[in-house]
Parts: sequence; structure tokens; C-alpha cells
Amino acid sequence: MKQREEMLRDLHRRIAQYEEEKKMKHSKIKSIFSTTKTVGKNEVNTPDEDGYIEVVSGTERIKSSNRMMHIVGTVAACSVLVASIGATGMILNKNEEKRATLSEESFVSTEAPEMTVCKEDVVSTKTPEEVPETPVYKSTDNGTISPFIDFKQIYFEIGCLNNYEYVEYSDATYDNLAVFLNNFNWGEGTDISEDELPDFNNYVGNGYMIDWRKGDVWFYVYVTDDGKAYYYMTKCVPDGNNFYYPISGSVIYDIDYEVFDKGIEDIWNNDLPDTSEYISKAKRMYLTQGEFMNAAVYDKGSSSFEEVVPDNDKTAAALQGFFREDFVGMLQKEKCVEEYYEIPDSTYEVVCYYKTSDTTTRRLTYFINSDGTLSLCEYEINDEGEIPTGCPNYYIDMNEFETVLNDILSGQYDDKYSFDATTTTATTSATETSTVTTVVQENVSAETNESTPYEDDNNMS
Amino acid sequence: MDNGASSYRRFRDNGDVSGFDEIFMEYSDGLMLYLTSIVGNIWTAEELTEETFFLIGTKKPKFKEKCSFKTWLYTIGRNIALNYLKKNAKKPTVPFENAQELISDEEAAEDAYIKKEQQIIVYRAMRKLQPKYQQVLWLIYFEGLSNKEAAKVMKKSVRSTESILYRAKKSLRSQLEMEGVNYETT
Repeated sequence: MKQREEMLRDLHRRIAQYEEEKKMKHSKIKSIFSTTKTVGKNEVNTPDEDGYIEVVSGTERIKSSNRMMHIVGTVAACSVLVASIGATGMILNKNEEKRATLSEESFVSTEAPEMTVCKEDVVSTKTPEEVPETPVYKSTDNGTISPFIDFKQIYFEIGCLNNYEYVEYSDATYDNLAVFLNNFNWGEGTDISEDELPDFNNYVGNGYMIDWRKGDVWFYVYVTDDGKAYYYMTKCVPDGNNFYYPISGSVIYDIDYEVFDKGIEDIWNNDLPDTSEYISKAKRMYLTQGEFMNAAVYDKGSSSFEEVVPDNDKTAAALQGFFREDFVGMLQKEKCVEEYYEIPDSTYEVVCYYKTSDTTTRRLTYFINSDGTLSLCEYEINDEGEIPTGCPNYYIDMNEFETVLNDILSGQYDDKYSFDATTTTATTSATETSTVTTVVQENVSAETNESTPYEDDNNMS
Repeated sequence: MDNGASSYRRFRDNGDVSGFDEIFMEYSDGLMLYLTSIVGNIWTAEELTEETFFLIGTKKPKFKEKCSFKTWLYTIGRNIALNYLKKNAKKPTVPFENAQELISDEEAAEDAYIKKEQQIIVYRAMRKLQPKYQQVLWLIYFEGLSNKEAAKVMKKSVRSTESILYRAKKSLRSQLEMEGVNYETT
């Protein structure tokens, strides 16, 4: 390790070198400009370092072509473009059907869950362009659901025991993990007392931890290398500034650890990197967990945040529809901003409420900054208080977000996002929808007045 | 020196190199230990500290005084560290055989910066916690930043910073207890 003085000396040297290079670059550009200037003004050409003289001998006059030819040419180009789009669409549509058939075929039911390599070039009718370069691994699904929960329906996390490194998997890997956990032979469970649970934090040996949450209840499955799986749940009890997690109900299962270990390792080893800029399907599932109740968006005016209230009920319903259906799909993974030295101001705040159980509501507050960086504060609210459950960062394309928001407010999406059918609060008639929306708005205001995330951040900026 | 701002102004506006040296001497150690909590080892943190000051020294960004100079400097350092992590996500940072050397380097840096024995004990316990807990504890307890300033550096709302801080303190307490340290006197 360097001494501070040594590091400072190195820094001075690097800065001086940088300045030198900058000067040289400047002088080069300057000399190019000055040469051009001289040639232009005095029409005198001086030889450069190699002794050559660069001369522009004349200029080519570009004639504007015949107007009629222009039109004909444009029409011809357009027709080619339209034809190619149509052809591509047809090919895509055709392939989609093939893919659907293939994926159904690949889920052949077998007795034990196992890994199968499904290389999608098994059918010879496919052209080479359609074949993915890397084989896609799929766990075999025989339709079983685990004794704990249907892992395909819930956001869960899985990791090695006592290794808290969070790994984000690709959608395919995540699906495989869900299928594997559902189909694994967990055997019959036996109730045990809380005292019989091992101290997992200090467990010596290998194993896995799987956890998920529903409302204010956290669920855990610990798989240990002695062939046991322990399942228990803890319900959070807020008490002033403290949160207690008493264990309620624990069950032990005898399992084949080797099969479990191999299954998980196989899936992990075949994880293909998720290169998408947008958040994964699993993350979207996590963020929209529960039954959507309502949302509100706040825009930073000249000094404080003000709620964006649409002009009419239909547009208000469309705004709710957007936050229920598509907002989360616009979120991208956290990005490191290139401008290191600016701390952006928060420009929008979006608050979404989800009903997560009979006694709990989930509040997600997205603080959107002017540069597109976005911080989310998650709380689970129950009768006893608010439980902080996470604070991840994301990114959103501000142009895209603002365009959609403005389009919705101008009524362009009134028909697309009619707030109906799928939720309990939904109604189909416009009159009824307006009633629901009004109630919703009132609820949001009440919640935001009670809680302080906005106030805190307003003070900050 | 008014918390670095005037030294930086002297350097930026008048080309006074001693201003740069002053902020380096004042903040480099603290920044390095803070970046250690992000990247996980002191060697990389040292390189990133140098990169932070290199950026300050070459690009000379404008400090708009929206926050304290330290908050601003640490925000730049954090962004550089996050960029580094993004680019080097899969690369192991320190070879296993160098681990012992790394520990002694880190201990030397702790001794140079933290000074108080009790605080060093807390720092070492803190290093065993999750990175985000380490960061928030470092900024608030070792660097004396307010919750609001720490929230700015970590790009989180004050409320979420406070909830991280709460959990961090709880974890630190368990860690100290596990190590047999009486945290109430520490």
C-alpha cells in the first residue's frame, strides 16, 4: 500500500501528464484551424512537415435532382420497406407458433425433477438464424407444487447458507429454480418446536436458504447438508423503534441433500447472464406483489411536491391503470451516472399501494430524480405500524416516463387503461369508476400526510 | 480550512496546488476507508481514492455548495466505486495468497485514521456486516455526517437511510456481542 505522500506525488505526476496531453491536443487542433484559416484567407499553401502541399483544386457542384425522380424514388423505397416489415412480421409470427409448440413439448413429465438441455434446434425445419447460440436449460416440470408455496407464483430468494451475497438471476434461471423447488421431493413434514431449530447464523457446514415474504410474514426454508430441510415463518411485530420477529410454526423434512445440491448447482452453473437493461421478470413480480389498490404521482413544482390530479374521471382511471399495469415495466436496473459531481434533485414521487393480506398494506414510494435515477422505499403497513422492507435503486428513462405521463394526462390513454375487471376495486361503468378513484385519492392524501418520506426529501432538496 | 470548500476553490479558480494537497491530506484516508466498505478491500479502495482525486484534479468539477464539501467528495467517490464494481463484477479483486497482506494494510490504515482503540474494535466488527450497513455506519459514526448528508451520499431517502441505520446498529450490536465486546462502554 502506498504512503499518502507517495500517492499525492503520483497524483501530481498524473495530473501534470494529463495537462500536458491536453495542451498538446489543443495545440494540434489549433494548428489545424490556423492552417485552414490561412489557406482560406490568403490562398497560400505552405508545405507541411512531410513537404507535401495539400491543395483543394476545385469544388464539385451538386445539382439537385429532378423533383419527380425524388418522389418516385421515395415511393419505391417505402414500398420495399413496407414489404420487408410485412415479411419479417410473418416470419416472426410463424416462429412464435413453432416456439410455443416446442416449449410445451419440452415439459415432458418425469417422476423426479431433473435438468434437461432443450436446444431449440431439434426441429429441422428451422433456419440457422432462428437457433440460439447457447443451449437453454430447463428444469422438468411435472406440475407439482411444493408443500410450502407455489414458487412460480411468488418472488423468492435463494442463496448459500450464510452467504449474503445477493445474486440476480436471468429470467430463465429464475423460472428453473421455481420449477425445481416445486418439483423437488420434500417428503412428509413433521412439526417441531422452535427450540429444535438449529442456529442457522452459526451453522457449520453447507446448505441453502430460501426465503420469501407475504405481507408482514417472512417464510424461510433452510436446507442443510445433513439431509434436513427446516421450514418456519416469522411475523414481524413493530414496537416503537424495534421490530420483533417471533417464530410461528416450524416443520422439519427429511430430504436427499445430494439431489437438491446438484439440482441447484446445475441451474446456477447454467445461468446465462441477464443482459437486459430492464429489471427482470422476477423483480417485476416482486414489485407488483399483492393486489393493486391505488397510486398517486407527485410532481415537484416550484418549491414543493404537488399531486398530479387529472382533469376528468376517465383520465384519472387511466393514470391508475398505467401504474397498475405498465409503470414497473419501465424500470431499468440501477445505473451509475457518468456525471460524478452532481447530486440530482427529486422531480417526481410515485406512491403505489398494494393489499398484501387482510391485515397488511404495502406502500412503495418511488423517488424519481431529474437524471432518471430512482430510489424506492418499501414499507409494509399493519395495525401496529410501518415495517421497512427494502430500499433498492433503479433507473427510468425520464423522456419515456414524462411522455407517457403527459399522454395519459392529455387523455390519449383513456381507453387503453380503463380501470376495470381484474381488481376488486375495479368497476366497469364510468360513474362507478369515478367514485372509486375519488376514494382512492383521499386515501393517498391521508397516508402521505401521516407518513413523512416526502417531507424528509423535500427538506433535503 | 473551511471543511475543504475554500481549499478546493483556491485550487480550482486560482490554480493553487496547495489547496488540492490540503483536501487530499484531509479527506483521502476517510474516503479510502469508506470506499473499502463498498468494494470490500482496501487496495481497490486505495486505487479508487486516487481516481477520485485524479478526477477532481483534472476535470475540476464545480462544487455548487448544495451540501458540505465532504458529502460532495464522498458522492463522487461512491459513484466511481459503483462504476468500478459494475465493470469488474465477475473479477476477483484480491488473490487469496495476498489476503494476509491485505489485512495488515487495512489495519495500518485504520490505525492511521481512526486512532482510538475502541473505535477500531467497532470498525472491525462493522467490517463483518453487509456492505450497506458498513457504509451507513461509517458515514454517520466515523465521518460525522448527518443522516441527511449520508442519505445524499448513498442516494437514498432520509427515511430509508434511517431504517438502514437502525438495522445496521442492530447487526453491529449482535456482532459485538458475538465477539464478546461490551458495546455499551464502547
